[in-house]
Amino acid sequence: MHKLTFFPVGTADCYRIDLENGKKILFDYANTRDSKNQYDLRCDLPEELRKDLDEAQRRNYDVVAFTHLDEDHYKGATEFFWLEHAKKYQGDDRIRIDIMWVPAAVITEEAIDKEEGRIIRQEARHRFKQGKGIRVFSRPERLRSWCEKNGIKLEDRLDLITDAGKVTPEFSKARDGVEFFVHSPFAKRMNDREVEDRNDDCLVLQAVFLVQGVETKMLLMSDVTHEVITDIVEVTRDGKKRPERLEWDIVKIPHHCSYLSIGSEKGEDKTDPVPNVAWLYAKQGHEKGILVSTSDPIPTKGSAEDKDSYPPHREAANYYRDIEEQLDGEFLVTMEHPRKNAPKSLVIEIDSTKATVKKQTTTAAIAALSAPAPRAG
Amino acid sequence: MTATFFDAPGLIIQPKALRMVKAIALAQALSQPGIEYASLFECRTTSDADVLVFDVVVEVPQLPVYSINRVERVAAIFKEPDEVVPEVLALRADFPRVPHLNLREREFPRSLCLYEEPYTDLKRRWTAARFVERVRQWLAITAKGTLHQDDQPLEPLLLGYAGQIVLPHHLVKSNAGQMPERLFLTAARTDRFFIAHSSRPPEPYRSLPIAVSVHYCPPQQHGIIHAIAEKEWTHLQQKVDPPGSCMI
Repeated sequence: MHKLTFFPVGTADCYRIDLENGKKILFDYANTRDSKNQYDLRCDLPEELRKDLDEAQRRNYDVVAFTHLDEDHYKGATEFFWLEHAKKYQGDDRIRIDIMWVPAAVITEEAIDKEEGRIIRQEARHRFKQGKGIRVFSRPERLRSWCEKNGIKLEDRLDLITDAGKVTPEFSKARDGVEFFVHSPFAKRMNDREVEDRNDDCLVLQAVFLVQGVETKMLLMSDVTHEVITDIVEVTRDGKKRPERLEWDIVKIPHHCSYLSIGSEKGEDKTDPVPNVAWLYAKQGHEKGILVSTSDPIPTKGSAEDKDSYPPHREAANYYRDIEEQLDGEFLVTMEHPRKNAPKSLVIEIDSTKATVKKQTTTAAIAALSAPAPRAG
Repeated sequence: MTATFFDAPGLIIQPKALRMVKAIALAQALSQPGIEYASLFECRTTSDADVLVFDVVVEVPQLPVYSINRVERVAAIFKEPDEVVPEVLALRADFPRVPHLNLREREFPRSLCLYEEPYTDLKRRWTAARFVERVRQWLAITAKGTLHQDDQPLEPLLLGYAGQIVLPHHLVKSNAGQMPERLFLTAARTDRFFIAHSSRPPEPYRSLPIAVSVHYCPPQQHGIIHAIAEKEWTHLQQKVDPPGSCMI
């Protein structure tokens, strides 16, 4: 059995994949909780992660992916991880990253406004220069230029680069029960622009889990916009004729339930999807599919949060709820699970019956400790 | 699709009119926010029981082995004196036939067999929260098809279980892979086991006065009769001599 854990970190991303063979993959990191605010319902992320690593008697992740360099995807990472590029980020209590996954823009981007983002970039650049401990997604012309400026031949680093349309070499269905197919970034889109747009250049993958011959597919959509989704669908469905690469049982909804990942107009009560987005959700979602919004609770109509321009957007949520109903699926929000006033990590187990959202009560946890599991008569 | 439900037994009452201690405890627990993934629907009463109807949210996989819904409505029946485990009925009209159901006079609503251990042992640990959790857990692992554990005996094929017939390996071998149409039985050392023979056993063994005919059926893992055909059973018992000596 494989396990996904989405952490309640507000409108930000951090989720972990625990593979049946013990490997651990972390997607993004966002320690957003204000420890001085006792009413902050967001989890203590480093504590949650350390508890799990302690139980597994590990001090490392096999892979940590930074899908792009927005703060809600790396906040606090430089205090938690052991970074190779400077001694000040090394210490016994820090968690090591065996392989760092980043889109090429993390290496090439110059205009990073936050210091912590620059440190992550520095770590990625260091690993790429060293030629180990990193996988870079896509190879835009700018990556070649960066290599030339830094005295590296891009050709010497090709084994560290995976292009869109390929599967990452770190995992395979035969060996690990999972493979990761790369949808974005793709070099063409990145080369079109003078300046990197992080949401356009972020890492989008399809994970295909295999348990006893049964596949469960997950789309990891990071913060992509509807324009990028449109391009991904055109390339994959129309160009490469591989629509199965966009099928999903679980989808990490893009950009914390932003309407801009569905269409260009927010709508009165519901965002209308552009055609390729509509196709992706309505046609490619499997029965009882699970949609996860990594965000604060969905605002109620007319509330202050509803008027805020930042996601989550109520209108977008209403579109995803339509998909939920259509697929007899589940639309889940990390800061609403299981309750808005007491969010907990959202756990999804994957086995030969595909994905199951865990709905464990406090009572169940107590009962499990105090008595053997009952058997049916 | 909207589910249709059977009515639970009894007349609808207010929670404060409940009489049984465990029913009162469960109604209170379901009315508070303390129990997650469960909510009280209604209370009922019969002459000898309190009945609580409640909805439970179940962990159901995308590809369930049995079609359990994410929300199931159940009725728990509490009787006084508190000597038998409270019965739990699945009220959904199309609740599937699954392993570990109790045999009742009528097949519907289906009755969930929640526990293997005797109620005298269970009573000491019974709490409303644990009871609700067990219902949720039973439904969840039924949905996954893992309720029946490998070390548990198969459910009996028929009601009125009188023992097991042991088929010696030479029985089939000596008949070229086919079972004989009729078998003779002798008693083993305990009266719960019988040894099958393809021909009348020689003295001093005594063939039991039981007629055994052989039928070929598709494999059936769990119980095959799901309701007691009471009239037929009574009729059969009356026809045999001496009355009541019939068994299946």
